[in-house]
Amino acid sequence: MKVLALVVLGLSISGCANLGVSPWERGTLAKTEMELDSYPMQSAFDEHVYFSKEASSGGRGFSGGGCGCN
Amino acid sequence: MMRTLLLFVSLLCSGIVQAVELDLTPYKGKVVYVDLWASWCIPCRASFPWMEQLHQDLEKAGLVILAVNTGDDPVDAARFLESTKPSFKIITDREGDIAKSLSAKGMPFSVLFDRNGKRVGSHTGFRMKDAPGMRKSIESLLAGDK
Repeated sequence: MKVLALVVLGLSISGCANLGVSPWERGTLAKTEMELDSYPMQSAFDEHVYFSKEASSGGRGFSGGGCGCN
Repeated sequence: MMRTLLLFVSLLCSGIVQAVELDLTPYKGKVVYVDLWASWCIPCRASFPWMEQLHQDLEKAGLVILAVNTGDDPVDAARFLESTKPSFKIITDREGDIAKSLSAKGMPFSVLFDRNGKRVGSHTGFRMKDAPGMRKSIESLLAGDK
């Protein structure tokens, strides 16, 4: 039982040894569609429509509070 | 049944790609500058005109530039090379074997080898302000200084 526990522990610890993406494997992450705001103009239009309808803005990220106070 | 098995095995084998190794034996007696790059990497692209100039100026003095296209999409890489047309040697390392063997820390990653094939230095990233210093160290290595 102890041996089994040790094996499981060993496997679970070493399972985290290779986390992360190597520098040369970041090609897909570098694509435009992978950005948080990949189409800024579209977002700006959406934001404008939202502001016109709701008389408040923000709330899309941490920087805007969404308090409606501009 | 046999045909299905054969098809399965051939499909399995098609995924096995021959590991690429960095072979410096043809460049014995020369200073070798190995640069790992990819077409999606903006600083890598920015370093190409600098490397081209380096190659034009120092090839006769004994400098060899090996630009290793690492983990890149073949079509994107070909398109970039078509637009830049570098005169130095390009090696393709699809799986990042050379990058692993050189312990690359980022992209671009460059390694300098002296005339005896000994690794003398490496550099991560490319900034124009670092370029003169890098050129100076290559020139001093070519001149035989340490």
